[in-house]
Amino acid sequence: MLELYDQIQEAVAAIRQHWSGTPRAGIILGTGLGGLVEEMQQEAVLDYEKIPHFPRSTAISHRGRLVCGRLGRVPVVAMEGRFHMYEGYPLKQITLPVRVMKALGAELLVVSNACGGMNPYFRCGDIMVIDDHINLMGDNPLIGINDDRLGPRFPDMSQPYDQRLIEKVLAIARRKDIVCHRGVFVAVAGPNLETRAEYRFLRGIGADAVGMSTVPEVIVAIHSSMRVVGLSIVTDMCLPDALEPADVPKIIATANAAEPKLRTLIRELLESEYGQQS
Amino acid sequence: MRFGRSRTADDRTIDQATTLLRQHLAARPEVAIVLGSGLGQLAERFVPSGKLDYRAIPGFPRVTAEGHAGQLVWGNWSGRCVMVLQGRAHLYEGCFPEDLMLPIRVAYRLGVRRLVVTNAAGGLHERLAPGDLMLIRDHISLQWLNGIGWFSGYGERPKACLPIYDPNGIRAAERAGLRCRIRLASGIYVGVTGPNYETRAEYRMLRRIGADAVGMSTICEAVAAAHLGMMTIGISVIANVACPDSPQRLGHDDVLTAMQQAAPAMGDLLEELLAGSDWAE
Repeated sequence: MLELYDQIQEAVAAIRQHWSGTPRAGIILGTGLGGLVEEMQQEAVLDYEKIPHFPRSTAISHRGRLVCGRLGRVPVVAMEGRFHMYEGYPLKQITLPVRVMKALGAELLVVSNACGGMNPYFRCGDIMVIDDHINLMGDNPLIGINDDRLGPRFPDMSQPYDQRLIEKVLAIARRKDIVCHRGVFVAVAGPNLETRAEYRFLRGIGADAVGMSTVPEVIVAIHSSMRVVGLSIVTDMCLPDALEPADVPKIIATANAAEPKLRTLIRELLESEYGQQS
Repeated sequence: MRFGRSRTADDRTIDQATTLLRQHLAARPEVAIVLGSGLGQLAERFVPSGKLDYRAIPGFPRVTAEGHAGQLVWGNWSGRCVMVLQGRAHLYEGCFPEDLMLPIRVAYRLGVRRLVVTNAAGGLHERLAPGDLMLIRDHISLQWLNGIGWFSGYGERPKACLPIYDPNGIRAAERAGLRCRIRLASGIYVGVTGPNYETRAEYRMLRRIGADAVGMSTICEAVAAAHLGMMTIGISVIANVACPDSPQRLGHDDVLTAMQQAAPAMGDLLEELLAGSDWAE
């Protein structure tokens, strides 16, 4: 991990040539959820290719741009499109943007994804605020010799998702009439969707939703001592005894349809957290 | 890059390390003991006839974790010829499983047929308390890492599938615990890669799949020993307990403090075990 420090500095220097703001929060927009950037007052937009050490987004429905600017009154950086382990990238590289956000000044990470709902009380299009996670990816972005400049060797994970912000998101959702659950997210490597037996297993170990991202970024954010909020959109229901074949265009359509709700939650959360100070 | 296989843990390196250590060691060691996080000080309980830094031994992994000395110490401890691995390397340091297996394979080549592995672990079972010792009955490996092969085909295929943790060894350790009046729990150890500590949801999962304690080491060494037909005893020190329903922050300092407190009991147990005749070859 000792090479990361210099990579972060180089990426930050490249971004600084286009944008001088100090973001309060970094936002990662998952599959089909890129729409939030339309609402931003965009001050600089950088393709990932232009930023040193950033991988290329190859996944479907991920644009691959870093958008710097303001959401409402709050300065933020947003990743329109993210990287996945199933694209073949090492987790260290996938999570580099989080370290770059931190180096730019962000103290909060807002991470979103499209997930499969396993809790039978969920419905397609609902939002789940992540209360906790299980890492079943079979890898960890912190493996390697630790760089103490970046964070501790053994980060605590007793509450990776900020409990006060979770309550705030739930309160905003109630006020705005948005169905928002609170649950446990399990991350797998993918890229195949799960078998019925795997869904039963994942439900059995205590997960409410399953996805192929988010956990590496959150681990790195905690390592970097950032606060974290995670929002999942339930884009298909994964009930092993009534399982329908996964339909990727339909999943993306569900994500697109639910995206305005996500946008509202993130905007209101940042406004109430930082709006007064900015 | 971690993908692929270790380049240093090949047969030639094992030969080189064995040759070097044969020159240093006067007698054939009977027992190898791996001292985990915060237990390294136990090697001071006997007068060593020699020691060597891991960096001086071909193929021995580089130790970067806090609380691990990284040296090999040998001598007569409680009437038995032992070699003590004071500190270990871990998968979370970027090592390959085979790097962690190498010292065990070298010990075997030197004539060791008995292995004691110790570690610091997080207690999952609700009756475990910080400072308790837990005898490992069996383990669950959740240390699979994408793209990493565990065996490069070292030695022969095992002829018989022995239990990894020798039932006679478990009995010997239990008797040793009784003799020195130590409360010795027993249970299932689950190995994860780390390096982050577990989330509450992960603690609940590990409980549900049948684990009593969780740690980031031991599996590679025990598997390597079993593969060679060595008899293994595993002992965990419970450094902290998982409390998923009332989360508490956990830091490495907390772990090391608990280990300091538990170390004397572990020392007594090891000495009683070594002195006993029921675990002889």
